[in-house]
Amino acid sequence: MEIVFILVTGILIFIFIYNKTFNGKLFIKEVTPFFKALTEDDYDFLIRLRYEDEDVNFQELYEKRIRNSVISFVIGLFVILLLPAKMYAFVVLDFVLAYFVFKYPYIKLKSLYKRYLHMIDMLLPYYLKGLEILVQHYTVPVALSKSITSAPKVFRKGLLKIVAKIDAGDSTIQPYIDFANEYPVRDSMRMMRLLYRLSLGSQENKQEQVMAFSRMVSTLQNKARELKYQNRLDRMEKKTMVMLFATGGGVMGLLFMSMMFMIQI
Amino acid sequence: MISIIFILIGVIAIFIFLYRNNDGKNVYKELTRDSNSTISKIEAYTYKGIKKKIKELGQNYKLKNYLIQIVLFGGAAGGMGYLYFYSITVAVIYALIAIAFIPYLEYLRCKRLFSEFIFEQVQTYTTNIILDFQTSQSFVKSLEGVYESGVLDDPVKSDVKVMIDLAYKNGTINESLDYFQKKYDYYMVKNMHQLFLQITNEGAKDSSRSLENMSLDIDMLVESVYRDRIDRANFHKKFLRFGIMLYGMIALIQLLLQDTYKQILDIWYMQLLIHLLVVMNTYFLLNGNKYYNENVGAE
Repeated sequence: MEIVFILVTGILIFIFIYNKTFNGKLFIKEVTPFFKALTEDDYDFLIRLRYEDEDVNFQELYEKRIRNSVISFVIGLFVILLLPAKMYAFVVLDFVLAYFVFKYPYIKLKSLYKRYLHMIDMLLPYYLKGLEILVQHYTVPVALSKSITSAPKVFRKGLLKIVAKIDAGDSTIQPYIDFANEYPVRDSMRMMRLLYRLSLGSQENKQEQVMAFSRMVSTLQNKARELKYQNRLDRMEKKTMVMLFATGGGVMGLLFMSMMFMIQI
Repeated sequence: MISIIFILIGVIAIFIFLYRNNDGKNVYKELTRDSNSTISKIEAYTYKGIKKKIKELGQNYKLKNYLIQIVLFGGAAGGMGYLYFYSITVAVIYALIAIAFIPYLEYLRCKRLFSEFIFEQVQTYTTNIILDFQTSQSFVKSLEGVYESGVLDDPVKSDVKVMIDLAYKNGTINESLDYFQKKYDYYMVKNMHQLFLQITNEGAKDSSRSLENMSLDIDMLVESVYRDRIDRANFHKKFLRFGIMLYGMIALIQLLLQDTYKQILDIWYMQLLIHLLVVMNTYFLLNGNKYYNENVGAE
């Protein structure tokens, strides 16, 4: 009976949408303001970072989240109708599911941002090492400019900005601070301040300063390397745990089904 | 049954919605690839070439090793197939599948050994060039010195020869450096070459301290890589032991259920479940093995 109801409802919804009697897009547009309170504070920032070079409509993306949430809620309701036992708790679960579907893109953006920061953290010492070598023969602004082509892709945009600012005559610390803010990881601010000081130093003292800078970068690089190796070991450990849970869980399932079988006979 | 199908359809539909939501160009993915570019340094080499080199190094499997592996893998898988399913056919199929994986495992092992070999060669190249430069004060002369000293082995040795020829042909070292860097994309090579390029093109300045620092950096890197190699090898051994032990969990169920186990084997989906468990565990073992062999962490 429920199946017939669902089929009829499904066909009706399809006809309404096809005939444009019911406009899904308009409906989502109209209900979006009610969901505004659920918008995360950093959602716009994360979206801007994720689609920096692409022409995307923030509103459209947000409406898409709501649309998916509504659709999953409706599907959930249909599924509940088909369940042999109907409980109100299932409706609550359906709400939870819809909320999860709504939150999922944000969670994903957040985790991507974390990975992005981690990647910057890992790559910064390697970039600084290359820069330090260039600084040995060139001035800091020239070294920064020369480093653009060989720098990891992630830093190129920031480097173009810092070089443009310095070329425009800004000899203050601000371009360096801006770069550090664009790549907000543990050591970026400290290292950019040091780099600025290096750009101020006279040529006589420069060699000593460069050597000190070099030692610092080497230490950072070593730290990043240790962290990278630790991450790989952790990943192997994670693989071990996944194997344990999957096989162990499967064995438990097998045991449970066997027990059910024993009860039956 | 119909309800279950509908629930499954619902779950799949939600999954599709979530998946389709992730459209657009993934900027991060590109960046992640950038950070992982250090993982595989030997993509340019064919497996045939790799295998030949491993043979030259005397680290290839001999007939005896293969026979031992065939007996071990075939025996263990066949034994497990029989003891879990009480069927000779299943035992034979399991044994054959296990044996079929031996070449793949050998392929992974060769790739790892070759990566480690190339890394050792590259670090020998960088360290020796720096040492040589302290006396010769010329990059090309250092290249010649290292080439003739016999510390390098092919393919790095022949690439150094190409570098020397290119340097003499062009009158500059730029192309030589580009050639080597493209083949050996390591940070230590890139940094050292950059420094030598500056010394050669910009001249002047006492670079002994910079080279000393670079040498220390390479030492630090080598120490970390070797330490990490030991850590990973130990971890890998534990991982394999653990994975093999997990196969034994089904044997435990047999012990618990005793005669009922044979009865449940008559039900097709129970049999399928046991097959799935074995396949799943094998997949995880292979996946872990692949990760261990592919990611040698040289940079």
